[in-house]
Amino acid sequence: MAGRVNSGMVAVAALEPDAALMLRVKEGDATSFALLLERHRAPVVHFLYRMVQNQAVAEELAQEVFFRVYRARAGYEPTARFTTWLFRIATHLALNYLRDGRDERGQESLDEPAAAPARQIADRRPSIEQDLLEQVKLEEIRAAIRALPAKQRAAVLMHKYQEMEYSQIARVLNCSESAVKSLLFRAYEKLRVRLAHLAATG
Amino acid sequence: MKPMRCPIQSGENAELLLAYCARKLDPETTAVLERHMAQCAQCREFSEQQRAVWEALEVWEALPVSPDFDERLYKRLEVAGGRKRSRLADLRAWLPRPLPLAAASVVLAAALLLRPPQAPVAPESDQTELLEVERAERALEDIEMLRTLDLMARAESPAPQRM
Repeated sequence: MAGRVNSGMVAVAALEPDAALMLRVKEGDATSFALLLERHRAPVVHFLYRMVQNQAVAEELAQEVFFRVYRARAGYEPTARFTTWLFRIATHLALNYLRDGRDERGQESLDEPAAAPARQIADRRPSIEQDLLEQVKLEEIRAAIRALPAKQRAAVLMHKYQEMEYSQIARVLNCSESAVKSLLFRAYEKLRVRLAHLAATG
Repeated sequence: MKPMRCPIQSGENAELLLAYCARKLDPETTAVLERHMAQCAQCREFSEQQRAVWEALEVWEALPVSPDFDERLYKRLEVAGGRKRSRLADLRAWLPRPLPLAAASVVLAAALLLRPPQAPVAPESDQTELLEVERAERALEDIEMLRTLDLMARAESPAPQRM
């Protein structure tokens, strides 16, 4: 099987385990797809969740991401990092979803804060007051992110939670590295205005 | 070390401040930036606010993924025309647990029994050898597949791990 893969692909695949797995998926190895899914399921769902702020929608979009990855396996060539490709699909779907205004269906009812996991605070149970403060803080953060233009939102989420480099974010968003820096700078500026006071409240 | 031009006033290297606040800056540049910030109130203020934002964002934890996520995906792939997966799923549903290994033995025996007679003439022997190798490989793949099915049947998790 591997013998049929050209030497350029092998060189990239040697650098990147995910690309090697995807090349095996291309050759019909279902186990490799299961491994890729295991490795990237949570990061993709979490990214989409923070983008659309609705868990059910995030999972549906993530299903579509992996569905497209599998369907595109025959034409896969490891010209970029696997995660760049994966997040490009995820971002594209999320931006389309947001562009079509499908997120205006009342996020609160679909994804109520009560569904969020309670934060563990030291070894003590947080008091009701602390719990409420946490919820208020969390809602402020969600609202601040929601208020960002979709592309800035995607850039911040990839930078903060996926810990991507500027160059990779640029490839995902199909823009220049300097455009990404500018996007991030403007986005964080807005977030600083909205969230800086949270430092004082802890 | 050369003093740094103010990242905010010059508009150059503003990303250094972001990297510094995310604690992703290398120690050497961190030292240069900190020396600059000691004298630049604007950068200090920026840095404090950006750190506050960075830490506030940590609070926002994502929800766990539904346990049936993989199962839903595999079903969708199956419906979308994964013929092989479909066959595997049918097999998995049909085979009782102890059967896969027995079935593997049957496949192996069949592969051996169906092996064509030794080629009588020398020029064809290379081709025959190739065919035999391919058959043996296929038999081994079948055994591997059945082992996989057996493992899947034993798995506690409802989500299938193979296609």
